[in-house]
Amino acid sequence: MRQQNQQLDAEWERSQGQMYQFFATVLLNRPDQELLEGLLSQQAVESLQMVFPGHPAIARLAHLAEEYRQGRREAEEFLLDYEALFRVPGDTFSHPYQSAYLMANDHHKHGSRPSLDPCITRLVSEAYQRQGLAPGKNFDEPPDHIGAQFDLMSWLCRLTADALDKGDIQEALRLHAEKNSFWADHLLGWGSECLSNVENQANTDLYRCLAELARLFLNSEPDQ
Amino acid sequence: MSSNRRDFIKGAMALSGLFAAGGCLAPTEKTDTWNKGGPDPDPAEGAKVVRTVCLGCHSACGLQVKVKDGMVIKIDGNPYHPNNKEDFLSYDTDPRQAEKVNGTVCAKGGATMQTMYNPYRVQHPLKRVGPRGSGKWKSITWDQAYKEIIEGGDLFGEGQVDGLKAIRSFDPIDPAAPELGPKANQLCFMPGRIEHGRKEFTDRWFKDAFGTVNKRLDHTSICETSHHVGLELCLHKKNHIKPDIMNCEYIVFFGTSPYEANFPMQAMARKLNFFRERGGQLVIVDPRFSNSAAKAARWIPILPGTDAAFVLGMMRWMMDHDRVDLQYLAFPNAKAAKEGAGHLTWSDATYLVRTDDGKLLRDGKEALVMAGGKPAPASRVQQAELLVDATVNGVKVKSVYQMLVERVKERTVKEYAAICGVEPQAIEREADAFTSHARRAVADFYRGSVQHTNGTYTARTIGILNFLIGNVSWKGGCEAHGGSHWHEMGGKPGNPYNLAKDLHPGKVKATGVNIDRHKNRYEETSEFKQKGYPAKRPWFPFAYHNVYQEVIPSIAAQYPYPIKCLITYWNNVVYSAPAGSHQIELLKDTKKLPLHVAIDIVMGETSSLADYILPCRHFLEDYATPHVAPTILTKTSGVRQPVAPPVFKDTKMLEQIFIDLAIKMGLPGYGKDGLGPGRDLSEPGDWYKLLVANIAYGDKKDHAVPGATEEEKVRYVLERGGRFENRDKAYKGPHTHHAYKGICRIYSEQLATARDSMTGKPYDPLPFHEPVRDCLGRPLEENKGKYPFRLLTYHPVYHAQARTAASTWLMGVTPENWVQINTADARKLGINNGDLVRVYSVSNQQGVRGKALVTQGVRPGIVVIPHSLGHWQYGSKPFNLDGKETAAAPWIGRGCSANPVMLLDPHLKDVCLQDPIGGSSSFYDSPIALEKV
Repeated sequence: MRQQNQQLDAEWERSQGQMYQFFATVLLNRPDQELLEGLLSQQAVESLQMVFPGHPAIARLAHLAEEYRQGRREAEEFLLDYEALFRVPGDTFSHPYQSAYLMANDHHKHGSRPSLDPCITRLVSEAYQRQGLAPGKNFDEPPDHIGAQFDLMSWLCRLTADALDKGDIQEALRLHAEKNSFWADHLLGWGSECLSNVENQANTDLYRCLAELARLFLNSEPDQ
Repeated sequence: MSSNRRDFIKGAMALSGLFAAGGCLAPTEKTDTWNKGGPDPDPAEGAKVVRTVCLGCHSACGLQVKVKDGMVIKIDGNPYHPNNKEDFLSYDTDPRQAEKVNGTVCAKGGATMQTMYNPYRVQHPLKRVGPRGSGKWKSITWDQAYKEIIEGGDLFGEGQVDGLKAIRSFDPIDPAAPELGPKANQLCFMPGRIEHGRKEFTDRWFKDAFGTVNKRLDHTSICETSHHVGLELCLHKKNHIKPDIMNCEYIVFFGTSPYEANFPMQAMARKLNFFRERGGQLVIVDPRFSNSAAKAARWIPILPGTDAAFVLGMMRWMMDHDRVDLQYLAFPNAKAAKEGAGHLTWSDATYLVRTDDGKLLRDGKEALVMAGGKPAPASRVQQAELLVDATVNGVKVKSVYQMLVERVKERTVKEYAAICGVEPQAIEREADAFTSHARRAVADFYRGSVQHTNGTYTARTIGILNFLIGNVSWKGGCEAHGGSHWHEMGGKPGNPYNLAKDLHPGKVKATGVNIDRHKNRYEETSEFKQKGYPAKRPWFPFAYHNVYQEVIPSIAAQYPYPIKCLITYWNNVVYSAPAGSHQIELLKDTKKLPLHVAIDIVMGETSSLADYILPCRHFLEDYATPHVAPTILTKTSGVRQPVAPPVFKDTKMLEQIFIDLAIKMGLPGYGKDGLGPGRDLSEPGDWYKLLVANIAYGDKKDHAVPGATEEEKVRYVLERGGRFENRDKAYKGPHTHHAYKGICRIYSEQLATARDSMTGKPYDPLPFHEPVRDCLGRPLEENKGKYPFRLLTYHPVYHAQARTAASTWLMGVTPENWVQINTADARKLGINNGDLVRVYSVSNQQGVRGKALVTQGVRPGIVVIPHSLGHWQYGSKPFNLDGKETAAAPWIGRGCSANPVMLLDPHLKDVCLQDPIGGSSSFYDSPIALEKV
């Protein structure tokens, strides 16, 4: 880490945290009107263009946003896509849980159905507890949900930024290392594959593009 | 900063204001455990968790028992135990963390708490006060029971009865027949169900302290003994095979329903689910459409007892279509097989057999094979000739494979199919499928195939089918060893206590013939020298695991000698054995059996015929060190320990009863210094702490579990309910990790050179289909006109053996016991679904009654009655205790049992049909009739 330019690093960490939170929000939440209006606004497209300059998904998102604002796309279409990808265990369910992917590598070869593993979910929830975090009352998913893991990364980035702002380099280094460890121990092993599945199975360009961008962002983590 | 980085920051921060942040985590001071979507929170707050091993059936699954205020409130599966979870916990997992994870437990296991708190358990020692079997009892003290059993006397007003002290004499029973052994052999111990840890304890008592050879005549022959004997005659010191289900591609199960029974049922069912999800082919060969058949790719309803014919048909097709792994069969020794194709096993297919006497051709001790046209020692040849029919030094010889080919080609596939009652295509299709998965195909079987008079032959035939594709010990193939266990009795380099050999000062040597003649040769007896064949009753030199159904009839016949005292434990032979009800009158005969002491937890059908009942503990109040089947590929040593204080305080552990008797009798090896100087054996814990210590230290040096002291190591094991090797030790390269590395025998020289004690004829040493026969070798007179059906029974998934009828939960889910009959057969007899019918045989004209279930899921000509119901004691009827009638629960006696109707041997007339080699009782060869009542 470059200690000379604390201001820049804190801003960088905070912006990383913001991107993790952005993706956590879209992965964890049904697309209600407020979320769709924000996500498919011109400002959102322009902001994403700055984060992912020249990426073809941005152009597709921009087109979709235009259609939505003109009333040519219904909110229900995105809601159904979200439900099928993240909530309802049907044909396009992406099984957005770490244990489902790691168990798939273990026993479920040749196209069998994945399942949850209390050991892995316990490890992940312990990682949250170490940061003094706990699930909200309304969250009803297993703790190893991909959105929850992005949320933890967001917290770790923001806490790192706060530590840098306070001049607590040791704490910032510790949090930065925690973030890297969590990424390596958990998200690295399955996050990209899960997001690829979302991308391939999504019915709408909204989730196809968001998954593609999330995967790109996740895979760029070691360089940050 | 680069413009890209600046744009990134700007873009990211701009996104933040567009909609509300929707994460799920928030800071909290109290870090709760995750209680949504993860493992269920335990409803029993503050409950103590004790891990033990189940005995709801014989699978020995782990239990995680929740106990509150000294009472069992819930039973779940032990997450450390490989029976209960595919991804069972790493052994070093903190036990407190493990409490938050539950393994699976089947309905029977979960319901065992009901049989523990069963109000109809016997609570005090009882002595009969009327004739034996009259149902009249009085409560006595333990001291009185011990005194009378040891000293004997005129105990019942019927004359002198010898007690244990008088029976323990080392004078010969019959000086003219010294091979029978001493009078101490006139004490016989007949446990129905007894597991490791406990069976070694009672062996030590009966054999090494008291001095009787009749140390443990347990239930195995009414379970599956011919399965074990048949495989022991194929493998070296191994008697159980199972498929490596998690890597197999094709499995054909004969005579078993792994989704209902087998070992361990819940692990096999779970593994088969993964197997089927992967596209594995499951085939069930069974006259009954079981729930396993419902999940199978194919169900093949052969006629009962024709499994060997079906398999011989498969072998015929395989030979005709060049689908036998001849390369594997041609390796005559371990080194050649390993170097040649990476096998860990080899076969005797190339060994030469003398056609004059059936023995292997040898040079000294070395078996000979033909290589390059010349005989050579098997150990020195890379590959030998498979088809040999020659003369060597004037002796006509054939290779084992030559003999197998000739045997298989005695019939065509069509002829084999006709025996089985199926179309030839059924055999051809399975032979093709079995040989289309390289070594990832397995033929497995269990008691439905072997509890016939031809059981051992069938076991060998099915076992040998696997050898023909060389699948033994391969990943995805036939597993003949399994993970096994640590040696709780000691004797390995790492074990601190060698209980098997040492730690028994003053032990005696038991000699002589077993009352059931198992492991004894008739030809070595004085009787044979005097009269030759046939013997008065069958002898079973190959029945290594006892002949349970033969014990009471032999006592009644006083053959080969009288018995003076029978001690039974968890024994219900008159209920559980085929035609066992015919043994009731035999057991009542006080002249033939002067003293019968039953150790039991209920007034069972058999214990009701005792002179004394000594009440023992329920398994949840007990110790043991049970083992698991080779389904489990990692080393597994479950430890049973009491989970709660005993429900009935005046009951005792089995070990305590025998310790008390031994101390009072002064038997060597009990009481002070009973296990050697400074080591007492005064209570069961003295024994079991040594067994668990052996497990804790492990078999190899420096392989102990964590812990600074022995006590800490023992606690480490007990906290986890045993010692369990981690999952990553299941495989080693392309093989299973703890693989069998020995010979696979197609030919049995032992069988070829032994003779049936009743017919004088030699046994068949090759795969063989033998039709059903009586003990004189006569084919069964089926009398199809009068008894046109064949009776079968099976183990339904919610019940086990004799013990589950006392559970209201289990009886609630199986409220009726159906007499299952094929739709077309029912129509001919005018029987509708739910009609009351009578099932009877030539051996039991009165028969049993039950409600008809008319179904297409049973082969025509077959009638099926599931086991475990139809009790006529066990708490279903009151008895007279201390002058008053006891309470009873008639619902325990609901349903009917198939056993009373099963056929008696037409020659012996007091025991069921039996396999003369393995000793298995026949459950599936009885012709019966049925009519509407």
